[in-house]
Amino acid sequence: MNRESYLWDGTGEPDEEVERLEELLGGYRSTGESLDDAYLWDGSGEPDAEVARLEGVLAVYRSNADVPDVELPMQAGQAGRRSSVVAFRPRTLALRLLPFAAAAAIAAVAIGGTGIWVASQEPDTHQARTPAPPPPPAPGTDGGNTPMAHDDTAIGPPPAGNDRTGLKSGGRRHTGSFQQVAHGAPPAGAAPTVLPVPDRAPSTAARRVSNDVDPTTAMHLEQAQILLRSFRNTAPDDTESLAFESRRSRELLTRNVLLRRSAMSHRDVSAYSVLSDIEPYLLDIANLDARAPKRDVLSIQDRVERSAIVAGVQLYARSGPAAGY
Amino acid sequence: MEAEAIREMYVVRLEGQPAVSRAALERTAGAGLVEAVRAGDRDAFGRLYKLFSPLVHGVLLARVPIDEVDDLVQDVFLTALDRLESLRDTSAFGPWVAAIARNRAMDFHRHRPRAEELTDDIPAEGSTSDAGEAARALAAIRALPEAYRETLVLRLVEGLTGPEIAERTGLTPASVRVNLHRGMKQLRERLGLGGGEL
Repeated sequence: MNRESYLWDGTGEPDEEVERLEELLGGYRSTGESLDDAYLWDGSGEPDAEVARLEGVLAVYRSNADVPDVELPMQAGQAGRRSSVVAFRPRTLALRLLPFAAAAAIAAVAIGGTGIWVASQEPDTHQARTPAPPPPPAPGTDGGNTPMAHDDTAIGPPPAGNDRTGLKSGGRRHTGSFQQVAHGAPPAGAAPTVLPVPDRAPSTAARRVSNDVDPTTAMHLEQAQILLRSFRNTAPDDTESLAFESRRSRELLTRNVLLRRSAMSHRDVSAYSVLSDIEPYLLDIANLDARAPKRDVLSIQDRVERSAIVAGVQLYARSGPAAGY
Repeated sequence: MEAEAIREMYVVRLEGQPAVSRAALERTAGAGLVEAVRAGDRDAFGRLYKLFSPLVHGVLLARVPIDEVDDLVQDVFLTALDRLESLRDTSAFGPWVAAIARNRAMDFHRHRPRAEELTDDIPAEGSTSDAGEAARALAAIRALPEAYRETLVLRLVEGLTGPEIAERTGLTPASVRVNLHRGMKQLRERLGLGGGEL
């Protein structure tokens, strides 16, 4: 009874087992921490000097809330909900376009493969179905049986015969049999074959279609290009050159950031893209110091080489946004 | 016209309000602004951005390199703008956009190229400048458990109060308060504070 009393309210004769358990489990007991921190909570009450100090020094990282320049759906006159965004990061844009690029590459491989396969079948088919070759077409005519032979969209010069062109077009359209196409006999009522030529439509509504390159940006890109070229050719153990290039890269990096931000605020997506593309390389080179391991230098050089960034920058500087940026 | 009317309806003066009622007003204002943005009001988007960019900035600052934060803040808002029609409860814009920001930060780390980050924010050893202290404090916050990290960044960097953090993130005020309290305790330990200097 006494033991139960101790367990109940701590009175009576102490229960050793209960005491022992209390001792063991006491470590998990609530520390009874007080949340008396009004200043930390909502800035009221007496200021906590440490919190106030932290607030002060950390304010340098505070959001500056520059509103991005965007077109809202209603302003763009779009019935749909999607907005026209004018300030994609190039990396994001590239990622969004990646599936389309992959699909285009697969389609190109498939078409090429089909063409090769059909071409390899051609002699047998031709011999089996046409013992004698058709007479050569009269000059200035297409022989009257190949609507696709002189198609404007046919790639390369017109072939000697009409079959190969027909195969190419027929292979892509894949209407009727290969034999029909191989012999240039169009299906009854078929419209002339036209190879689908991808339009060079503007990639985004926001993209500035212009060949103007800002002179400051152009000059900067030229200097960056020279640096990248020079760095690419520097021997990894040439510490003096590397130190110079690192210093130079640091200078260019600062300007690159400013120009990139300026390009973004002017909605110049092309310049923004090219500047964003070179920035990681400038960053890496700027990060190199005299004690940089050789493998680090080689790694950056390899990436510069493989990415063809130098050629890309050169192309942009020459052709402006039309260069593909 | 409709957009203008909506915006006028929700124009509220937030300055000088007590923190709790201010948070409630912000929620109302946020809902109205979302409606106005949906109706095509560009100014409303600017106001919405200004109202919630500290939240998005703080969420990202707690997770990604400093140099990337500004760009990602814009990415998050552009994504939000694209998906605004899918937001059912317009008063929940804050929690919704914070979730987008967290996902964006995860994406960033998933696709991050293996390159070194150049940052001027790494303090030199023994640096006593404000910039050095700030970088050291931020690094300490970013080393805290995630639950405390975001809350402390929002409080100490973005200058939001506890009730505002609760309102914008959708957390309960009690959770925010506990996170602030415990996070601050750990931060003090990491920074070696105890009434002294940083």
